[in-house]
Amino acid sequence: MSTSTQTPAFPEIPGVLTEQGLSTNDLVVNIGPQHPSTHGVLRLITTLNGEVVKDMEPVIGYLHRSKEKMGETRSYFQYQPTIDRVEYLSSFYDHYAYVTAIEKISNLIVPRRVEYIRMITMELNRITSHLLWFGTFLMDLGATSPLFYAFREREAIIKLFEDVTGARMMYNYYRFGGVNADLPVGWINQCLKVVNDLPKAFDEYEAIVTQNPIVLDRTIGVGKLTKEDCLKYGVTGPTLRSTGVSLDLRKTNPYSVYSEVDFDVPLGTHGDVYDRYMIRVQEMRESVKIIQQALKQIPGGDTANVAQKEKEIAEATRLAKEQGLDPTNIPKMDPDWLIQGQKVNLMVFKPAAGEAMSLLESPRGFLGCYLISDGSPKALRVKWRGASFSNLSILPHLMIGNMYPDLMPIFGSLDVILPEVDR
Amino acid sequence: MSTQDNTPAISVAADKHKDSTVGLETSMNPDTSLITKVNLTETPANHSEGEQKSIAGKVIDSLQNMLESQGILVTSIDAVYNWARSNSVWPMLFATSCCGIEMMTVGTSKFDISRFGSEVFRGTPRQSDLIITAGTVTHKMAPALVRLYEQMPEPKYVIAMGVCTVTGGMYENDSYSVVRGVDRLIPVDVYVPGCPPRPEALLDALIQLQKKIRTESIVNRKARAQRNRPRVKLGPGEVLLPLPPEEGGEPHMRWGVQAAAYDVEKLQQEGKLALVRGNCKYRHERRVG
Amino acid sequence: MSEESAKQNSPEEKAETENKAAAPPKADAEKAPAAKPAASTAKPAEAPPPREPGEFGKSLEQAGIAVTHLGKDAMGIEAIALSTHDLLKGAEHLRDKCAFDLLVSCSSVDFKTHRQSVYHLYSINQNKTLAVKVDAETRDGKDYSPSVYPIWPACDWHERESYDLMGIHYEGHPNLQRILMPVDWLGHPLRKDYTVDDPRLVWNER
Repeated sequence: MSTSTQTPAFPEIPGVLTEQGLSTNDLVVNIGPQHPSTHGVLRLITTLNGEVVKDMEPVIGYLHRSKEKMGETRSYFQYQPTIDRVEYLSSFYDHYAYVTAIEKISNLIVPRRVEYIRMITMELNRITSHLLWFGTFLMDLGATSPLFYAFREREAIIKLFEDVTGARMMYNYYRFGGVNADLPVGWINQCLKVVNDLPKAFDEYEAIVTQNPIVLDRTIGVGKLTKEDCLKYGVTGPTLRSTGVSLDLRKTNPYSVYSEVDFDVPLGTHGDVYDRYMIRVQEMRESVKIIQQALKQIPGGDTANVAQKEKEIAEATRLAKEQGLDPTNIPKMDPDWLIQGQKVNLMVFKPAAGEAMSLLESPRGFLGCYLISDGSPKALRVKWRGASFSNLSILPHLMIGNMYPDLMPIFGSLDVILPEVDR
Repeated sequence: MSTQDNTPAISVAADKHKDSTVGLETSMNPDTSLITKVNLTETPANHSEGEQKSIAGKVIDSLQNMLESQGILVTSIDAVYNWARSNSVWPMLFATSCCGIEMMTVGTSKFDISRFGSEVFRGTPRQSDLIITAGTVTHKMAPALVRLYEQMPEPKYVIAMGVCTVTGGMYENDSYSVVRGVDRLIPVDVYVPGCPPRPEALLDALIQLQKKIRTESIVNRKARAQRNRPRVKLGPGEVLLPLPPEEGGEPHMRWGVQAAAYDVEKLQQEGKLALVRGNCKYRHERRVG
Repeated sequence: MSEESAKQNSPEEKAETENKAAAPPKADAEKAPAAKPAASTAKPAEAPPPREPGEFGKSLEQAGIAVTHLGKDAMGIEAIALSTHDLLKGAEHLRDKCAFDLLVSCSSVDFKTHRQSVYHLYSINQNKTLAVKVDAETRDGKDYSPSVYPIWPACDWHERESYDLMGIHYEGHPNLQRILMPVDWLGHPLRKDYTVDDPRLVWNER
């Protein structure tokens, strides 16, 4: 009779009852492709031993919509409406990556007002993306109210987008060398009002979440990552920054006019889920700072000023023509105030032969558009480097050996958007 | 469900018969379940078979009001049954792509789908009666969608949300992997165009669906289920990860082909496969110049 | 990727920056204007004109690895080309000596005559990006290229996607399977000569 304290002496029944206890088979479970929490169609073939995950294999491709092939079969401008859908929560970033690649290839001049408009819309898009992440992350953990709070702010910002671009979600706003239309009159004040109210809303969210014992229990120490892990899988964005690596393309390789605004990049220390949550909430606050500065610095200010200036120039031109005055005395429009650098005939737009890889810092990480043009009206190759594609590949590493209920916080904290994975 | 030609013959006889039971005698085309004739009679049996928004409907409504004021409430079993069903349609969470975000927005407080009865979005098809296919369906996802539809209990409804599910949307021209419209796979009740449709459009679709539910009849449940079966046959014992052909696997599903209409092997044997496939290239390659 | 270095490029260099391809060259490329479409001419295929070597290309050459310099792309990212024979050695040098620790992406391009893989690398310490192009060699109608998985395991899914959509077989990859298309799909969709021939699809889904 064994008197060990660990394993009581059971009679052994082969196949069923062994020294270690009941013998179990590993259970192979399909999580997805339709699942409330997979944020899209992702299939995880999970091998479970009780509640411990022994193996996890993600199967993707359920949303592969042949976007890269469409880049080759459509002309540059025909392709533009479709790139919003590459990463639909940060569609301004997709647009910026594509448009800036073409502008650099063809040497198109981009006025500074356009760059400011682009930066403001991109940072607002970052806030909406993080708000949606916040709502769904907490809904996965079980808290349903933050979703409604987050969408309240999100609706306010989407109303701003609708005023500018005309659409709630698929904006198609940037053009080669400019933007589609100028901001409406009074938009800057409205945006400032909305954005000034946001930190109070963030305080409201944090009050119910950040010190919540359930959230703390489920997220602290869960899903720890190190810098080597992240680099081994190509992970970028807030997930990489949670390990302490200060890699934000807005700071290290500034594009657009990010070098003219002042903001911080939040970093984590432990690399766990709670750090990633805090980083994203903090990033929202930094985005608010960027937008507030940009709204003050935008060349031309409110569109009413620009329109006024245009009216004055038109009046002066008319008078000069009537009175036969010297045309060189007529004031010219400040080139920084324009919304289109130079006219581009979008129907037969043929950029120079060349290639460009434009890398941006999207809310999820490195977003890249690798564009090769051979001088014809259609691109030779458009390749989208989506941040979630690499971020998702680290999921098996994080889950194997962990408990199955940890899947929700871990997967939620990676902030994966499936269209970016599948394109 | 209005019929312009079939003006029903109605005889209103309620005025002079206060004490006898008033009933509706309707004759209905069983295939289309359209009411072709309505007779308001005094029969002991309450023999109603569905409602219709036409002259007959208005007359019945006014008749009911009249009877209610006199203390008699006349409802048909169908009206109650359909009213209960249409005001508590529980959708399933099937958010593939961008339309899923607008579907989530409909669930939140500004647009609030729960005031229409869709209080909860169920995670499992076994407990839901509506599937809003929000988002593009690709060939890889198609078996999963058909299986989900088959797992839903009757009566079930489908709202095809977004142009990707209506016709293939922007992928209709060039894509090699998108199913051109989800009605190749499952029968659809309401189509909502838009890319993505506004949340108000989805609410409008839900209202249309509620109106459609109210035209149904409790007698025709089986016929409806038979009509609304999935369009594609899933092979016997198929798994979602088929073997590639070189390892002995076979195409486990005829994607996009209505199994009852086209049998690819049969057509191949008859030598008619060329008619189905054609010498098709991408449309842009067929264009001259 | 800095805008300053992109502006410093002379317009001619930007105009002639293109992929290392067997496409017919521009004979007087140095004096060519900015926009000149790569029309096919009757000239024989010459080697593209030599480009100025960038710092990482020089570093590889000093280590004795044969490199073709491709100048900078429109965003200012340096590009080099390695042969399949030298890829693993060059990759190891880049990772260890030049501190390229992050593999950003692996793309695949289909030129009509051959296929090419393009790796973009990022160095966190120096904030520099590098593009490495590898032409796949064709044997028996299939394309082969060595996998950089031993050096940057981040290429796992990227190379699988490249295989799936373009058909380049990566030798040394631990799990080369289709990742985006269904497992029993026929053909490699992103190729230029791909037509949808699958009999399982309806006529207007091709």
